[in-house]
Amino acid sequence: METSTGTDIEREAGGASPRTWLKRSWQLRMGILGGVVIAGLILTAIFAPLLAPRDPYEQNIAERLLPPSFFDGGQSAYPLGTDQLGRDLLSRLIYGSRISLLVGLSAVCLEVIIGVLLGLLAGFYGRWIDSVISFALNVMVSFPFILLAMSLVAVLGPSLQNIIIALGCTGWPVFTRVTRVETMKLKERDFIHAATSLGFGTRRILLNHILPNLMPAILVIATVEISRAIILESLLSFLGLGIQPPTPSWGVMLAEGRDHMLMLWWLAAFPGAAIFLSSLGINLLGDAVRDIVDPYLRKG
Amino acid sequence: MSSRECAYTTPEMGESDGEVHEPARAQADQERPPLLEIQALKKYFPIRKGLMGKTVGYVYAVDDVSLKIRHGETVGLVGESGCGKSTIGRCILRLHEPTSGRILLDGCDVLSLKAHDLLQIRTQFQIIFQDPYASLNPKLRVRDIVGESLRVHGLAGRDSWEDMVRELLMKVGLQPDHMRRYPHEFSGGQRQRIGIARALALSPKLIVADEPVSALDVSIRAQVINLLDSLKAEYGLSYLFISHDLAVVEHIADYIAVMYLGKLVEVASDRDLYQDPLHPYTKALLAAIPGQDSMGKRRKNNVLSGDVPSPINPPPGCRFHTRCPHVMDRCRLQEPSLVEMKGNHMAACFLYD
Amino acid sequence: MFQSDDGNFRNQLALVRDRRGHSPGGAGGRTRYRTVPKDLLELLVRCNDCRICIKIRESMRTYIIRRLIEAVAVCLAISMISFFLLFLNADPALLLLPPEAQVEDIARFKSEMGLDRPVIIQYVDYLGKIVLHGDFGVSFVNKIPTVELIADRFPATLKLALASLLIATVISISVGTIAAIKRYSIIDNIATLIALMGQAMPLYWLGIMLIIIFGVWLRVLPISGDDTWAHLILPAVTLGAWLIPLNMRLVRSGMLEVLTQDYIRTARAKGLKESRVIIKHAFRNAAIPVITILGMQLGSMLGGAVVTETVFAWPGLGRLAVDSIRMGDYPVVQAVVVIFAIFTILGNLAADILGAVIDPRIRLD
Repeated sequence: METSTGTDIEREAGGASPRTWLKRSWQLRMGILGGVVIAGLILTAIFAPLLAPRDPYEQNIAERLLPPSFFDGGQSAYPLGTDQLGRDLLSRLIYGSRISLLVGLSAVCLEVIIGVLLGLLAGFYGRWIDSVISFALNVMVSFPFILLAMSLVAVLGPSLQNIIIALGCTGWPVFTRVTRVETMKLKERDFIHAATSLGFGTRRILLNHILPNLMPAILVIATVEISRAIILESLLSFLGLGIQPPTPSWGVMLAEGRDHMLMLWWLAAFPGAAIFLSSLGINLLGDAVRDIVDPYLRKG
Repeated sequence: MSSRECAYTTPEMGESDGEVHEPARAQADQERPPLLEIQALKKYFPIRKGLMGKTVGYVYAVDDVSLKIRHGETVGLVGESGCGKSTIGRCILRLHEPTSGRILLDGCDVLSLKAHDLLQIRTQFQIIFQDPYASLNPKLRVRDIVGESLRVHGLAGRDSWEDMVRELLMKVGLQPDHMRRYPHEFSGGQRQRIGIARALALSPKLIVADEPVSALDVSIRAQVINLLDSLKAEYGLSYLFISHDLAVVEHIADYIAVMYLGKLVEVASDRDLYQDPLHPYTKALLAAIPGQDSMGKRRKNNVLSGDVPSPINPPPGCRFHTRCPHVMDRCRLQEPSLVEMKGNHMAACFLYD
Repeated sequence: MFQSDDGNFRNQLALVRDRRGHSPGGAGGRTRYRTVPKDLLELLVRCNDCRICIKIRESMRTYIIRRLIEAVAVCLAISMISFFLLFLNADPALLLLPPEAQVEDIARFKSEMGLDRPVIIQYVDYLGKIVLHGDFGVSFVNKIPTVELIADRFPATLKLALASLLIATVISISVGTIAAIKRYSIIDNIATLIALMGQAMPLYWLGIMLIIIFGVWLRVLPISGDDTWAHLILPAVTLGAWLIPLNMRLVRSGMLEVLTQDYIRTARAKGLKESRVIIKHAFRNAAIPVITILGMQLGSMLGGAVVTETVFAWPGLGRLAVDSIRMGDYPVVQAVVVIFAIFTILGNLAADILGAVIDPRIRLD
């Protein structure tokens, strides 16, 4: 499901003016909140070595399975407790943000490059190129996504790079679909005809005239895709087909925590909460981005 | 006639099949060949249906049209919407590929040119579009919109192109500091001026103006038309002025061609057309101009009945016969050809046979 | 000017509608419609060498045939891809034989099993077996025919799917409708909040948290396996909750759009009871996009089922798929992939055709 998270559908349905203003300022505040969360995430990832109290790989068997410090039995040295190998959960969480961001951004970059390129080709040249690319699109979309990603990783071998490749190579359809339709619409616009009659070559038209007009839409989708990529990466790691322990990916931590779910719920709860909050923040930001970008979308 | 180096050799006058007209030359050089010559242009759009895309019919958008435009001349192309006039304009610029026919620019066959030569030729004619809100790239600043072609074709260096853009903007009546703004900051009339500046940048010889004022407020129209007129003198331009409104064309055109359903029905000089229209369709168009027309007479007996037929299924015989107040039996069977009636005034109608 | 066809019937109409609504051709563009007879207005034509196109609305029959052919082609492509993935990874002979097999044994095994033939031939053979005998091969792990394995697990997934669909539909329709009727009320805000948070919530975390809350702390519900009806509750709630945000937003916006239409105001002016207005008119029209979306969601729901079954140790197809991938049980993986794909495609197809049949002017973009 590649639908966006925001309220664009609602906005199209009629709305009264004074109340939409109220709604919009609420949206703006939510967007700022999302921005704050994302900024926090990015800063955490960048400054992980400074923020984490301990080394995420350091094992301390004697102090394994400690609960968070605000519970009985917890120690203040380990604010969120330790896992089954005595590693500090908080530190692992902080370092985990690096992995999530890295995977999220890289995978989406790959998706955008592949997807937009295919969409431009399909939309601009049409006819058989379009048929081929559309067919590939249909195939990709009908393929059960998770199984595809898992199979790719199983084939390539589980590692960080391969996850990025697997996600990138399976997530491009959403970009291609939108790029293709928008390119087709833009192709018929007078200013493109003007560019043709001014003697500009195809490459210049595609890059300088069509692509900049696609950017708002692409940006909006890309934001949502980042959160989806983060969730998927953790899912793959959770299923054992992604990043392998001891690398502190949030998904890996969730998988490890699942085994101890019954007694030591915090091992699973905190990583999951981290994923959830990051995703939420990105979605809120994405909504705000669309709100900013939409007036231009409509005007253009 | 083969295509050759289009810029430097003297083209020979070829013969054209079909209807040819010799316009009344006001200032144009008698010896020079026409700037633009359209010979028997046809543009049919196929209609496809079914799984395999079988062609089940055609839209006869442009059906055997021949036209000449001399240097420094403005030819108006008039007709109802959907009659194919815009299609002709775009075929000239090779934004569409014609089904058949020839288009000669300064004697050079435009349609046979390959990519590289086509790019060179493209600097010679430009187009101004109808919708000022769709014809400018919203993501580019005005200076890039106007000046990009200068850089691409190497007509200006890195430093001088901005000066040239400034000059162009002033010529069309805009302020130089408008360069840095985006299209959405301008009004419709101003955007159209930007479009004109863009077209002028390459110093073309011919500008196809595709209904340039139809989307503008009536008060602005005169300004833009006057601008086009003054630019014509200054740059030595020729125009193909396409419009559905005879009143607009009256002021600016030297010569007017009237189109109906893909065919030319009357071609005459400006004055001849307004003083003495021959074809019933022309008379009806003139009668439809609100208020008193400038020539003084109101023609009351020329109200048209019925709807415009579809270009997919044009009526047999004279295409206008279904709506013509003077229809005869002959009109239903035979198609009249465009014949010279008197001194450079041509019409396609059996009334004058 | 019109635009070029993009192949999908509904998208064609959506594009045409866009054109009618905002016609950048200005006076020239809009009046062009008037010169064409009314029935031709609905015609869309494909143009070959230039970019002006008029389109033809296909007859329903042509449309369905075309979609069916496409669906079959997509299925074939998917089966081909999943088949070749096997060969990308490992030599199947090595997987099937014990590790101490000698080179000659391997060679002999290969020629016996036909594994030394060109890959294309093997694929055709595989395809033939499926189409003619319904034989998907034998599981590497369990040594029983794949079809049996799938048939064994299928009912569990079906149970899960139906239950979660029920929960999701009931809640989305009720909450969505109320949210639409009473805009900006508490319910509306809660609904928006749920939608927002729901879209960010990783499905498996939701499952785990529910397990922790209801299974561990409160100890009210069983958390794994498929023994009793009670076992169904948590997984169904999890998957259903995952489906709710999108559906609810769609119901809400669909209802909103319909409620502001003129004919609703007319119905109200006629003095009909508010509830009748809602149920009879608004509902029926808002149901259309919801139904079509449901069909298209079948695919993602299958994906969700995979995760849910894994978390709750639910013995269904999804978990079978995951285990098989992990263990390298390729025949099973291939079969499950194809089956999932078929359901996804069928869901999309049904949604598209239903949408086109009910309302050819449906707008989905």
